[in-house]
Amino acid sequence: MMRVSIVALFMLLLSALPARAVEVRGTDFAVIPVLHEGRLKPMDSFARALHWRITGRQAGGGADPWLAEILFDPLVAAERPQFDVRNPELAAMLALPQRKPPRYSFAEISEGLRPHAATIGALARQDNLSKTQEQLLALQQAVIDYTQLMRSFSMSLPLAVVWPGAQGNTYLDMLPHAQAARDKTARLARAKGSDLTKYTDEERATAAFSFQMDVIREAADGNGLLRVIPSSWEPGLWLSPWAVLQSGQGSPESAQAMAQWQAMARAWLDGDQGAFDRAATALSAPHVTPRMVMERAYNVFSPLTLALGLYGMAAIMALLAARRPRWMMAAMIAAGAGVAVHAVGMGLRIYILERPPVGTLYESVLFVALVAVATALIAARRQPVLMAAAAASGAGLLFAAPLLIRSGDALPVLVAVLNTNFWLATHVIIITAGYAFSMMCAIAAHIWLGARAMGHAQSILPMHRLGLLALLFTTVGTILGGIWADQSWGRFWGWDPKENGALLIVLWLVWAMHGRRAALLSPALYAVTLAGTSIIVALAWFGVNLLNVGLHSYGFTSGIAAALSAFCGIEAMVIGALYYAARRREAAHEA
Amino acid sequence: MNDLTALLRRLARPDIPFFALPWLMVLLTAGTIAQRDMGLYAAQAKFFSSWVFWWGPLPLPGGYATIAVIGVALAAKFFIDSKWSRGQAGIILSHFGALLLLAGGLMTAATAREGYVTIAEGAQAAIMEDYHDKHLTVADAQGRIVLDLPAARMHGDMQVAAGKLSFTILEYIHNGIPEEQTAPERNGLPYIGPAAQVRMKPVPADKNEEINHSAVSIAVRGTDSGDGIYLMTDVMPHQPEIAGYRVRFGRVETPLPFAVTLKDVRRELYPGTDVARGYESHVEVHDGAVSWPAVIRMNEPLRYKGYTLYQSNYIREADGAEATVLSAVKNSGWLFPYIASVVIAAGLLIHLVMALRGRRRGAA
Repeated sequence: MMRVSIVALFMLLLSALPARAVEVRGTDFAVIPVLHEGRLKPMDSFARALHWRITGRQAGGGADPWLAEILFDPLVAAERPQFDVRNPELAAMLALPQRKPPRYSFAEISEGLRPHAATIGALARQDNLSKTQEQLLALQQAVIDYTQLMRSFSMSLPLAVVWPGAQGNTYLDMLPHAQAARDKTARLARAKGSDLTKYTDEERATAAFSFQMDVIREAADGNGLLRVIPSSWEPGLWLSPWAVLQSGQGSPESAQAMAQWQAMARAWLDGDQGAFDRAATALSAPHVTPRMVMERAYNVFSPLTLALGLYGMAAIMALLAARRPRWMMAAMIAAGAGVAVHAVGMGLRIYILERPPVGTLYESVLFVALVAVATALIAARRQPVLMAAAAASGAGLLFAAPLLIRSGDALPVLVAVLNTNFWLATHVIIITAGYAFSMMCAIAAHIWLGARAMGHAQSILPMHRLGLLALLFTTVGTILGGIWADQSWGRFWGWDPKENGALLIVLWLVWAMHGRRAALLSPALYAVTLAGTSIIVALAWFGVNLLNVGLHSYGFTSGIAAALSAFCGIEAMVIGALYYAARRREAAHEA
Repeated sequence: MNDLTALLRRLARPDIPFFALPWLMVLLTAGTIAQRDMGLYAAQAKFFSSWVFWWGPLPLPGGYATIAVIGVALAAKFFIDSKWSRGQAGIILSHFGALLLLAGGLMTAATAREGYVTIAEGAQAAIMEDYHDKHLTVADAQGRIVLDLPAARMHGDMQVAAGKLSFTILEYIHNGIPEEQTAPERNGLPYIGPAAQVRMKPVPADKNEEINHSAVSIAVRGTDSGDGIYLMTDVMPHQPEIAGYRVRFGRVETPLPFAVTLKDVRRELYPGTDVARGYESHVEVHDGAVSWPAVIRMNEPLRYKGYTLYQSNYIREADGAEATVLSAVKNSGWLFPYIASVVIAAGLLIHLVMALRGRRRGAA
């Protein structure tokens, strides 16, 4: 199949005209609806998700031109370096030339993958793959996605071999002649065999035309990635152009949409900006919704990136305020603006997805960052170091959060068991807020230990109150989770890893509180315990997903084990060092 | 009396939970990590639903024992040593909520029954099957159970009587795969029925307990002419009748006090994907002469007569026939967590507010 695609793209589409620049940005192309990952979304989101998935890089300024070139000029797209292969072992396996940066074209990768088809098929059925094997499978999937995109409109692009008397030079234009050419070629094959040297020029042209039409049709089997044609028969379902053609689901409406797409492809190849704009508007206008417009705005203005920047500024200014208090106001303003922008971003996500803001691991990180900095605005008004640490943590979480996005889709739909707005709005929000308060409590405890290590006397009250807040939210959140499990699975408690993780945070905080109350933990050890909450939360939040067991299978992730281990190890060392320094300072003071 | 009071006061001291809680956290962590290799069911049984478990030659307190110690200490603290004042209201309420939660857990552990009900579209079911427990039953011609032997108690060469018959458990296999039977007989007894063609080869148990295929090989004596060796597995619907006795091996079945007919089961997918947006079973509940319709969805169970039915799974056969799998639970302690969550939340909130007010007073 891969060979067929290469033939189809490199031989049959030779007559594609050199593209003149059509400006895609700013046109309605960005809001043409496409059904992807179970949700109708604007083309802009689809392009960004596919760009991320295929190239491994986020398209900060949007990926519409990138997508348009793949759709309408696959010959150029096939030669454009897109795929990063940074693993030397994988590059050697695919016989790729050394290059900096190590970025390769579709044509190069396809050629490299071809000898490994059997290996890839076997790997796809295996567990416990090596890093290189995982990357090989990911690259194969990226090539499949890219191939699907390149073929999406292969019925509307100019072809090399043209049927005399046809109305145009695309597959669709010449489709009425395909059966006649196929019949004639079959007769020729019976009469003269498959040796083309025995054919006349006209007969060779007929055979080439028939071969071309068959190859394009066969290569399009199963092409369903770009679902841009609304089904006339099944409400809510959108089909890819090839699916409409091959499943016989055509209708006057789908024919009109196909004609608009063909006009857009032609406009792209002709460099006709006006025609391109008109086609994009015609395709988007009947279907675009306010949600899609807001989603495009969310993509373009990227409020979470803006919030990240503001948190970073707030952290720096708060640090300056530790020496010069007049910076504190500026830090508060920057953090406040960051929280406002962040909240707008989360609000947009709620509006776009029509559900509460936390349903995935990625979204939980976004929410924890928001709650942590918002808490600091209240709790750290007079504590610049706490404000700096909270803002830096917020920025760090927003920076790292995209690593948790699956399939490049930052706005995903949820699996059935999570598809309940009531429990998402109660249990998930409360437990995630509990994570945020736990994080703030741990930060305050670090600061307390640090201050003691430097010989400054500090009250334990800030970290204690944050600890109480964390205990309240994690306890109620955990119990609500049990009640959700009771509603959903028939048992309040099943010792599932995610449940156990949440309980571990609660027990840890309860233990710390009782230790302090019974004077079994000194203030310094109490601070160590609260500081260690960060490790417990990290293990409960991310660590349990690494076990790959239990009913909470929707939260599973991979590839974070090393980062988590490093975090826990470094945290333990930092807390230990701070405690040691604080104790030494106390001992020196007592002496 | 004084001794008892002294003991209770000792139990109420905070050092007991202070040292018991870390052990509970160790158990929690160990039991969670162990699930990766042992599976949830086995890890739960070893670490959480146990009084004592063995770590090599060392006996260690299990989850039940640890929670019991914490529970007793908590109860002693609550009833004997609580300082009933406004300032302590939050703590007292939180402790009361935790006690309620433990009481609910105790009631659930003691009384809860859970299983599942599989119903094909158009069919009716009034029995729930256990997820884990299997047993061998023998019923006489009148339907009276004359033998009910749990699989957990079976061992090789175990002899049991069932009515006038004598059963010898030759082998119990917790998880096995079928292979061809090559021998015609064993110790002079012929293999009868499926046992003549198939035998079960033991394989390591899967950590997902529900997919283990158990089997039992039984020598039956005391019949007039049908003495022999029978093979029964929990996946074969083979219930031989031996000398007028109906013999069955399989999951433990519990009759429901009502029946359920599946009218329709629906799976809604996100458009253009295989990702389920939701499942729902449209059923008719029958209790005596009375019937009424009900819908069971994800997160929306049906509660009736102490039983709760949850949407658990969806089956679509190759021929298009659909069936639903409903989890069935009878748990008289189900309401406790609902009340406890409110009480604990109120207690912690009061405690937090008092801590914050304390700061203001301190600041003033």
